[in-house]
Amino acid sequence: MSSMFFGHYLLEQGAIQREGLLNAIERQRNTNRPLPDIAVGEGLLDQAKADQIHAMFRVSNSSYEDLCISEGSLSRADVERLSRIQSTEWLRIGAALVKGGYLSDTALTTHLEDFNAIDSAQQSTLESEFNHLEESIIVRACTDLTLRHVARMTGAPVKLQRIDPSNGTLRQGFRRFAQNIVGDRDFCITVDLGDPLFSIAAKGMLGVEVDPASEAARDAGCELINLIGGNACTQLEPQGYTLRPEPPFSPDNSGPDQEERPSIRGAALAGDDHFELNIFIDPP
Amino acid sequence: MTSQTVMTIDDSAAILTIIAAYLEDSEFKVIASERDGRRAVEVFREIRPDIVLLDLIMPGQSGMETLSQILALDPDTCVVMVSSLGTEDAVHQCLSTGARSFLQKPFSRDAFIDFLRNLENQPQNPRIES
Repeated sequence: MSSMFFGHYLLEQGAIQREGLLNAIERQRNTNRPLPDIAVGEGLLDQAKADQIHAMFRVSNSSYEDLCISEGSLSRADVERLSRIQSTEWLRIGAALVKGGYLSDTALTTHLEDFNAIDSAQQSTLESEFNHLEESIIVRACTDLTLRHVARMTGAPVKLQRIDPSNGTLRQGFRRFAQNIVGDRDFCITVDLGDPLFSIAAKGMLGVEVDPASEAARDAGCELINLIGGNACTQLEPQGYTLRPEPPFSPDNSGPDQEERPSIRGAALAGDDHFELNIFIDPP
Repeated sequence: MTSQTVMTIDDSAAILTIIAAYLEDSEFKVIASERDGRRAVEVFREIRPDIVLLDLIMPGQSGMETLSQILALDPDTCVVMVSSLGTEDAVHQCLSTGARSFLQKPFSRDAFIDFLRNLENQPQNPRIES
């Protein structure tokens, strides 16, 4: 079994159904508040300032903690208190499933123990296999950028996964957001967004909800690929890696040729939750 | 404050929307937005904006080709390359071809407007901090 997220583990075990998982993810989204929203609830920030911090978070490298201090004039003690509130009320996927009536307390405890034992052993093995690879520096950089540009908007978890070597693809259920290392390496980084990537990208960039199948959503998704690819090239250049970003493409937008030159390229399908960032590497 | 006209060229409608929103209520007025380099050169020929914001990586005609064609029409045009790619090679190539400056995405609204206001003073500042 590949390393996976707990929700998908439960699905694979037959402990829950897909509908239950989606509802639990939705419940998490409605419950788990970012720091600026908690600060509004505590009367430390007004809504306009919180909105400004959200906007800055999307385009800067700063954490919510730092932005609350620099932009919201909160003290470090205030932020630490808000973080404690956040961790107290933070709803994890297992608890969300129990609250929704999709899993019993007893089943949660049993499955969680089993999952943690399997998962920690597998992550440890994968990490030790992965960390010595020359490519790891590139994937780490791309992961950092992914987190900066996408996943931090949702607080989504990130994991190292193994690609199925028989067909070169990820296991079903892990393709929401993947960064593949193309070649003979069977690793990739996945981020479980729980929502179509393009919806998240469009909302993050444009500040409005758009139809995931719309051109606006596709554009936002492609721009996101551009951001990750371009920023990764920039970040890796001083370390001696020469990569070349290609324009993003999708089936209705003719993409780059398939020649394997050093490049970072993305492929995406509008309205789908499938995204891949392929990294062709020319090590120094 | 004197108003300046701006033309934006980017294959991403999302970026065109964001830039237009950033420049709303500023002294910079977006008078044209194009998603295709070839078409953008034709529009540029007609409208001659004060500032051109040009994406580097675009499908079809690239940002570099578009830059060369715009400067062939008017070598004094203030063209700012806007890209997520900020490698030394990319920046050097754009500036040596005649771009006034280079702006790396992503950027915040305030940093973006400050950058445009300082274009005259900092003609070859390749990157800004968001």
